[in-house]
Amino acid sequence: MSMKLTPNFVELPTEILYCILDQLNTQDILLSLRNVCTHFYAITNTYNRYKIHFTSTSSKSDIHRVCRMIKPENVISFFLISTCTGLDGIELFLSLIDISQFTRLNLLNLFNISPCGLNKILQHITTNSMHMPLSLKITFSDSNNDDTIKLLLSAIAQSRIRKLFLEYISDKIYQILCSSQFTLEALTIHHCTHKQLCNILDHLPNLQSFSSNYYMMNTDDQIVLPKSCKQLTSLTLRSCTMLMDQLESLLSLTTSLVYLHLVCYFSTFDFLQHLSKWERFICDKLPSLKYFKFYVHITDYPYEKIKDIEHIINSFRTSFWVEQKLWYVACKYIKNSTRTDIALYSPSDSSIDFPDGLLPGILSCSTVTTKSDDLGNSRITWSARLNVSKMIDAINSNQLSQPTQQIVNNVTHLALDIDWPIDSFDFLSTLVDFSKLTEIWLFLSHHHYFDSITMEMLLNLARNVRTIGISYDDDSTQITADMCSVLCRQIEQLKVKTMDFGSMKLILESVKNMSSVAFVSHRGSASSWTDMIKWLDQTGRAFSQSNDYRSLQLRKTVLPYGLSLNSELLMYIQRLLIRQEAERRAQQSIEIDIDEDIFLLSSSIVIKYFLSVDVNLDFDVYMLNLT
Amino acid sequence: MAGHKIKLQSSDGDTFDVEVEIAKQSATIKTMLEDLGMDEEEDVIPLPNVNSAILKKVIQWATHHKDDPPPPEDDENREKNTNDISSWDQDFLKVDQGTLFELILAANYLDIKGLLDVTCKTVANMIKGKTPEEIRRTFNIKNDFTPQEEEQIKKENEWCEEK
Repeated sequence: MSMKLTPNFVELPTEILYCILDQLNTQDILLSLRNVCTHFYAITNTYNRYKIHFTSTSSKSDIHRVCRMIKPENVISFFLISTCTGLDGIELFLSLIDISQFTRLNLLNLFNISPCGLNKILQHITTNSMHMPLSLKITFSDSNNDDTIKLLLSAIAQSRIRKLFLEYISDKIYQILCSSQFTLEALTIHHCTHKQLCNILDHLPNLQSFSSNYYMMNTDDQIVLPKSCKQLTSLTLRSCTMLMDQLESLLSLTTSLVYLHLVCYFSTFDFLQHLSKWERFICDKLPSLKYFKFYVHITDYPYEKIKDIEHIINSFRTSFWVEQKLWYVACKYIKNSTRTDIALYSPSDSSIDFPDGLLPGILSCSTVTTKSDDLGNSRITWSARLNVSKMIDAINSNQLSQPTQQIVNNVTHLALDIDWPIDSFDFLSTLVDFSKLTEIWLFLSHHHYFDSITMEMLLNLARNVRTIGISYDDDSTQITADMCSVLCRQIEQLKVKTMDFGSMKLILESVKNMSSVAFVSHRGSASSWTDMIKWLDQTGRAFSQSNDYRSLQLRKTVLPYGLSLNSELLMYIQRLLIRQEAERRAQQSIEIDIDEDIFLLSSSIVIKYFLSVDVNLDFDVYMLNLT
Repeated sequence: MAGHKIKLQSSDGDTFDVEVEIAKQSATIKTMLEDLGMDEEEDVIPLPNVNSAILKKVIQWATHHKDDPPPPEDDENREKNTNDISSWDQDFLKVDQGTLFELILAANYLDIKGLLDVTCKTVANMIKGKTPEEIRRTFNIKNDFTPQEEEQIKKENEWCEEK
């Protein structure tokens, strides 16, 4: 039987190597990968999707070397960012190349380039040597330079530019854009008024995509609209304020939209309420809409009214939003000493970063809709972070009104910032229903001693909590044996924010019966896990490290029944039993509900691990954390 | 029909029942189903380029990502970002290099853009910021340059004084 060989990097097909090179910058490709072996050297000569990215401060040596090695016809884009005047990296780059040889450029991102350098590039665009229309993003260092504007408009008029991105539209450019029938397909303008948008849409009949970062709606009563904008398939509008009637009038004309992104920085509850009823509007007016993202933000939103937001969120939990369109919606509420903000937005994924996604302050809450939501059940689950002492201070100083009911109905994840001794959880009980909690995080100030009695009191109230997280702000965890004993009675998973070697060892020794222990680094911590990893290796404890190196996770192994009964079994039998158990678990992994984010490592890795370490006969073996 | 399944057969003969909607994340399978009218439960789609272990992992990935929101509109102006791999994908791709490359080949063959993207990003992250020697060590690659070629490389990379 022939032995099957696993592929190695060098043997990957060229098309796949190209896909990997697409993810690398030019310097990594030309200055490192190229010099690894003859095959990669040849590949870097034929790869023809180079994207050159230089800034003013790029290493001059790198610029020289890249210019020496690269074939101009293999370059498809320039990202040139100038942040200073004088002979910076960009000027050096432009002086070393012959721009006329770069005939395959299809994307130029030019930030603050000197008029001389910019004109040189624009001049090249207008020549016949360019093979294809390109996307051009310009931030002018001198927006009134007549030569630059002339060259730019000449390039647009010759249909050399397919997509244009301008920092802002000067009167000159606007007048010319609106006086000729250009063939631009995509236009992005940072600052743009509603009237300008309408005029542009009227004068650019081929425009399929429009985007503006500072879009200003008309505040007068008269609604101005373009004559037609059926050609538009993509629209992004970011605005300080949006008027719903004007927005709906505009969108009623953009019936071909496939992509819509709306951002409103200072909105109102009414706007949000109206938006939440857009299911019908979208079905009627935007039948082709496939991608819809929004961010709507309201300032000074009273915390007593968060429950009103639940009705709005529930409007986004219909089959249309979460099943048919897969458009999820997240809500985040933040109250600190200076302001109160609430935002509803389209999240990048439907998970909540708890507790780090919730900022410390007085109160913050968040929730997100997911496809796994029970649509028949209107109860929304929330994560919350509270600083009770600050909240009481705010009430006493009339910044907040006295709470008369729970903030939201169903908080399952709660983080508490605690900087004062707790003798009662009565006040907290008025804000949160403890019976709903499943995970609690405690953020403790270094001068506050959170004792085992208080922990017991907390866990007695929150009977369904199975995960506790603890974080001391000075990294000196003070989790005593008493505390561990209390935790072990109810808690299955302990998470501790610490990188203190002594504390971690102490905790592991004290919570031997805990199913899972995770150590998490504080954000921005410069410490490493080196000492801890060395100790875990020495003591035969298996662990996994998250890819961002922020946490170490350990999970206690439930060993096979026979093995756990008889510690005198021969080593090879123990290994056999472990192998069988590992294979059984690997088999199970395929059947496990993926929605619970549970992922079991393949049996080969687990077996490899177990066969590579001596089994500790007191069975205090931790396995790679499988959750 | 929701929950409707098809059978995928690996190169080593194992058959996997997979929901059509999950399988259709593969453009290759989607085309087969649509063009060849293979939509009966008993139809078996042979995948001769993917072995059982890798197919199992591909199905696991596709199952996890079946409800992903649609990707944002392709924006060529956005620079490639290899730091945006989700934590689930990072865990999923904690595999040996052989498996990682087999996943890339499978993603390419099955035309699953999301999986190809994330696996290529993972390899790119293993290259970023490394010297040629570090890359050789990481991927166990032999330096096969002749002395003359080494000289040529040295010339290309000659130090240019920073001014």
